[in-house]
Amino acid sequence: MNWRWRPSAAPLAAAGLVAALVFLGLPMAGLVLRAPWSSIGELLGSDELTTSLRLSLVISLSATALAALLGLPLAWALVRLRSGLVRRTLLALALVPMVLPPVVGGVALLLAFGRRGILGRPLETWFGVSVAFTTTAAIMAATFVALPFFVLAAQSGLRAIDVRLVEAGRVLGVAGAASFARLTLPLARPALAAGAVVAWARALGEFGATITFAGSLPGETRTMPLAVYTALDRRPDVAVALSILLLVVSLLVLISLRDRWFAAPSGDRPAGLG
Amino acid sequence: MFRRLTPVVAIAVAMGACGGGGGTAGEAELTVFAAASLEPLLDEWRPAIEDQINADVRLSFASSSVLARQVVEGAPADVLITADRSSMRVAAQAEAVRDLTIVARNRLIIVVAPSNPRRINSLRDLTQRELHVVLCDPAVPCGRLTARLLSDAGVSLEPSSLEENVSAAVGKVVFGQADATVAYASDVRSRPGRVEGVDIPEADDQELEAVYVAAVVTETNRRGAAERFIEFMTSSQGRSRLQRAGFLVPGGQA
Repeated sequence: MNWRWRPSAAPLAAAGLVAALVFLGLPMAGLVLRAPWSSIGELLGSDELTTSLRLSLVISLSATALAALLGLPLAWALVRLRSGLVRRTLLALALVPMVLPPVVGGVALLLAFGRRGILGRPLETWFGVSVAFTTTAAIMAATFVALPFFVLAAQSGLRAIDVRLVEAGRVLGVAGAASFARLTLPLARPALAAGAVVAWARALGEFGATITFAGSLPGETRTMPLAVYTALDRRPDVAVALSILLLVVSLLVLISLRDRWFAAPSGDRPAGLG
Repeated sequence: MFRRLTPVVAIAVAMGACGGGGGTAGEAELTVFAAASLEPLLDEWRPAIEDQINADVRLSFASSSVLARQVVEGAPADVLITADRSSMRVAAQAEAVRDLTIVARNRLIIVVAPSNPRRINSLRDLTQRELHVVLCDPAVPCGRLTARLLSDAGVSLEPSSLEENVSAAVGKVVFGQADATVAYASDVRSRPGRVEGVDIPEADDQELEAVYVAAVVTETNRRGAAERFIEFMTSSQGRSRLQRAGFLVPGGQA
């Protein structure tokens, strides 16, 4: 390293920091400044808003539960496998919805579970079952995009469990399913909770896969983000009010997580398998 | 340190140069913001238009209301074409556009899967319970016209979804997710083999037709090319091309 460069780096870094703060802060300030504060209570109480709010809660909470249900075995397998091609394939499969553009996820869901999809068509012709344009479809879309966030958190949580505790349990006669339920899950609880919160936030914000796969009908599939998009033209006040609500929720999520999601697990827990 | 930075600087400079080059070429480029239902036609037609008006054309498609708002907010467009009068009125009232010209009309039509497997022959057929019918949201022109058409015809539907633009609505039929939608005649014409149209006698009414209005963006520095673009669309050659694409063209008026 060339130490002579150090002094001139400070103003550059400061300028960069200011630019970053403006870039991130100004859009938030824009929402706050443009919000229809005088009528926000009335707007947030309107039918259009409460309907989409209720729907968003139902869909995102269901998706979080499903993501946990499907994600836990996945995370467990990923920890167990440790390495190898199977693990890498499984990991890639579990994480791909996180990097895939959501609208592509929606098309993929359509091709699998849509009315002419691989599974969707036989389901409809044989059993008359179709998820098309139902809240179920919106839950599926939200689960699809939220799952990787839970898997990542659960995986690191399970991996960080002190293996000696599980060993001790075995010596004391707690093994198999009982060991998983009474030792592993409680030990991984903080990580699982953090995963669930992040997955929920992602499910709540889901837009692209939902509008592609589930459509947009008030009370059925038009969640808050879809309602923001639809209201933008006709009723910008409603759109901004909804956006403020989503911004507040996002901030609450971050506050509730503190450092659980971002920082490496340390301090209060002994690292074992890691 | 300098030596290590050199490649980075070289790349940055090269990219800057490319950007500059693009800018120079951009002076000859005409940016057209057009309603989503014009996309299949204009994409195909573009090379011929470029030859005719002697300028490169860059196209951007979205719903009319979104485009009008973007133009009002200063988006770098030279020509705006909306699929309704009211979106254009928003832009005109903000003095963001001038020289308004009606270039075409479009009639509503029922869009179904190829060979019409559900035997849908009229608006009333759309009310069958087991059908999934999607409509355009009343916030966009096709949805506004459809809502008026249905109420005039005394038909009440329970749509499965209210789509944000006409392409999304037709896409749901193309993918087989929906059994039918109501869209424009040109949407069917531009998707041969993928969807079929069922004429709606009740839609044969000027009040229920989409009106395509073109205008020159006030702030443009490509006024000449913008005017030539709109003139070409309304020329006899342009009108017959629009007609072949399923649009109705104004009889005689500019």
